[in-house]
Amino acid sequence: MKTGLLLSILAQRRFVAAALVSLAAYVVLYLAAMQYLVIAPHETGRLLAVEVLPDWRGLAFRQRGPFLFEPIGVLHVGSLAMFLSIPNLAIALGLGLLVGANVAASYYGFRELGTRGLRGVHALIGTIPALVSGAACCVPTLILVIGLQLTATVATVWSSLAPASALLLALSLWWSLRRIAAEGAWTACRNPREQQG
Amino acid sequence: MSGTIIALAGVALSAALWFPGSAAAQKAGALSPEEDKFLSLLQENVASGGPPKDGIPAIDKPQYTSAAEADQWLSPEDVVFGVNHAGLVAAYPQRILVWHEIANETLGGEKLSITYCPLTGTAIGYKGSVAPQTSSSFGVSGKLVSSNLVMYDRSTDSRWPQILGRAIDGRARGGRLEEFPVVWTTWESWKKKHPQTKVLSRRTGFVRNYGRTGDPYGNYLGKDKGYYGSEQLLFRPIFEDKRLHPKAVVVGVRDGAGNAVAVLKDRLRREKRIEARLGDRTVVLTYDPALDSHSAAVKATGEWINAFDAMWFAWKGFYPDTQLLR
Repeated sequence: MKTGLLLSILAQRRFVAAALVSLAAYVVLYLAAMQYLVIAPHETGRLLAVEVLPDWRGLAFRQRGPFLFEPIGVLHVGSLAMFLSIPNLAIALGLGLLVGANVAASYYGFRELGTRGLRGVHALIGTIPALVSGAACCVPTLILVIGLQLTATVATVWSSLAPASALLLALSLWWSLRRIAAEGAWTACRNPREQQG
Repeated sequence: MSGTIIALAGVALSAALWFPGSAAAQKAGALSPEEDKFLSLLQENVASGGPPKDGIPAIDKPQYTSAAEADQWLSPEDVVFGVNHAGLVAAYPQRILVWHEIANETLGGEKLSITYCPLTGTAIGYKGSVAPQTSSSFGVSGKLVSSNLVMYDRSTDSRWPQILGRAIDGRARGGRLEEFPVVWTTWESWKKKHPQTKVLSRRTGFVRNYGRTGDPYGNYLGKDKGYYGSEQLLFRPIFEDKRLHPKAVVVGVRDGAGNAVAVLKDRLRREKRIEARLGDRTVVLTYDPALDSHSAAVKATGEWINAFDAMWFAWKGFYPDTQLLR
């Protein structure tokens, strides 16, 4: 991975902002898709509350499904409830970072290299399977929505979506950075003032 | 699976499958060839539902609240599974059991499990008599057969499809569980009939969305019922019968001689009392308007026999030769 190029892109405020917004949006979408972010007011009507299960140590790494772990507590903010699971948050953040990096690289390519024929859209395609993977942990629910019958093959494919998404996003990012480097924007990236001049 | 196997299994069911009320599990060695073949057919058709073993966690230390407290979060029309057995008078909200499928309780040393399968719409009470002198609680295996919950017992780790109540593999293979009545009704109706009832608490030891919109499969209230109202099945059934909508609710009764009867619940509501032949016996199904539920008994002896709600496709999946009264 062209880490130096990526870090240079992210060193610029507009691109790191795009990455962070994408990361945050993705984490929210991912948690909502897994039903770990739901509309569920606190039972006593409190607007802000955190509850942790007594047996949280025993549950923290217990799996409910492929890449889905038991929540050990709940954070209530207004009518929203976020189920707290450390492994799930780590997965969401990991995928979110890849999405953010993809968006930043795509945005950079579109903004800085658009006149040279490189379109920014291609990198965004990599975000789609990642978003779908958010539902990979609730196979029956999503299967219901799309009207499939659950066979062993479908279940296997579905359970592999989260790692497949990570792989696709990583490949997409690598390809974006490679194109940026090939287009010669690497120099401009290292010295934006030179490009403006 | 080949059509030949299906046909053979259908014929095989004319033998025996079920002896409600039997005091202890039957040993695998006592299986007839037909029974053995049918249990093997079910075993071959077990499929992963997605979650791993215990990925859907049974409730092992149920806590209860008072009816007054439950009124604060349960709506009158909410579905509850009512139990009035051996001194236990309790309501188990569907909203909670949809996430856990099994609640294990111990009363006076006797193990009781209140089981619910959302995909087949079946709520059945089982005692823990998985083998002679062996009592056990149950967990969720993560497997399904004909969309029905496959439980496992914690003593022998055998697999028990919920509707069948009989082990299809493991040390207890062929064994049968004793049942006790579980009533599918609404919170309002149950509370009216049993004002002193206690209610399963949302303090289950797990975090889930127990709210009105939390059911991941659908909704028994309102017009859009999701899975519960659609013709879609998540898994290809072993046996199919298009005479009814697959999710039509039937009241199912079966006996130990391989006989089974399904009565369309709407018909029972209309007629209030229906007699049906179950082998050489007559059973009487009686509708209870107070609970929108029912009970069944052998006409000649008055002996209780379990009759429970089930989605038609699910009942047919386990009892392909069933009579249907619609």
